[in-house]
Amino acid sequence: MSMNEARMTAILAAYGAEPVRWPAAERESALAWLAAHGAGAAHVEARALDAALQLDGRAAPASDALTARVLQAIPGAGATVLPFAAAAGARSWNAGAIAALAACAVMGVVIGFNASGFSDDTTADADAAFGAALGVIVDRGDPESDG
Amino acid sequence: MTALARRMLSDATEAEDVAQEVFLRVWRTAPKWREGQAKFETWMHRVALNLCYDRLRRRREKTDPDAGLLVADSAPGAADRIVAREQAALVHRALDALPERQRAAIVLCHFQDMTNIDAAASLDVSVEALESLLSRGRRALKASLADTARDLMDGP
Repeated sequence: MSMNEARMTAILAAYGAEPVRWPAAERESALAWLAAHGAGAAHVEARALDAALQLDGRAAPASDALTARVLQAIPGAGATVLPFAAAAGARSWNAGAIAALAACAVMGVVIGFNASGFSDDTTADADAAFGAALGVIVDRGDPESDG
Repeated sequence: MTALARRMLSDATEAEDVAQEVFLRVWRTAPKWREGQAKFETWMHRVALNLCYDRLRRRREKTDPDAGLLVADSAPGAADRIVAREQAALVHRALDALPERQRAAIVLCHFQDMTNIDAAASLDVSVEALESLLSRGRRALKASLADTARDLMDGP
């Protein structure tokens, strides 16, 4: 879709003023359009609303109580699989990996897992890690599997 | 997941219950999930949103998320903290007042930083429909938060 004032206004109205939230396919052309035409009223209004929303302040991490509840719910796993670093260093890591990754997924903890096949905390890597961990769940008979 | 549920439900305890339930469902149903069918993140968000929708439907009376928020505070910086709490409470109320789907779209795209494609998949709608939800939601928020937004742009 080519960029024009109407589409730029629609993007700002839906996604706000931060380019990182804009549709990836249109981000470059939208930035070019803004550079050429300048930020108008729609951009200023979007920025103001973005700023107001940042006052929400509810990005609280999971409480210790939730962490404990989640870990207790893991069959065959418990406090011994944590800290996550211990799981990351284990050769036979599937129980620790499952516990760590599932708990991370639920509690919003950044993946800090460096077993083979996993690298860092990007969304793509996290998704691959979840997939691999779930593959281990499916194939629990193979303790040496490392994704 | 906890932050998403807190914004959807405005209740920290219920949000943690939802987060735990998401975990249990993921644990139980993981063998049915196949890579390529849906991104894991998208699938988890969909599970979480459906649990939130269920709770919102079951709720017989609306709770006040800000009850007890404004308490006496005489410590240094108290005035700033009170202003910050009041502003946060305004945002909470504005978000709570949105229809569920609009609120979910805003939470996913603005607060959870999901892409439009992933957010649409989580909500099980097209990208165009997501964009409509976002636009309507932000328009309503703009009306609710006009004064706050104007103050922020004007500066201290």
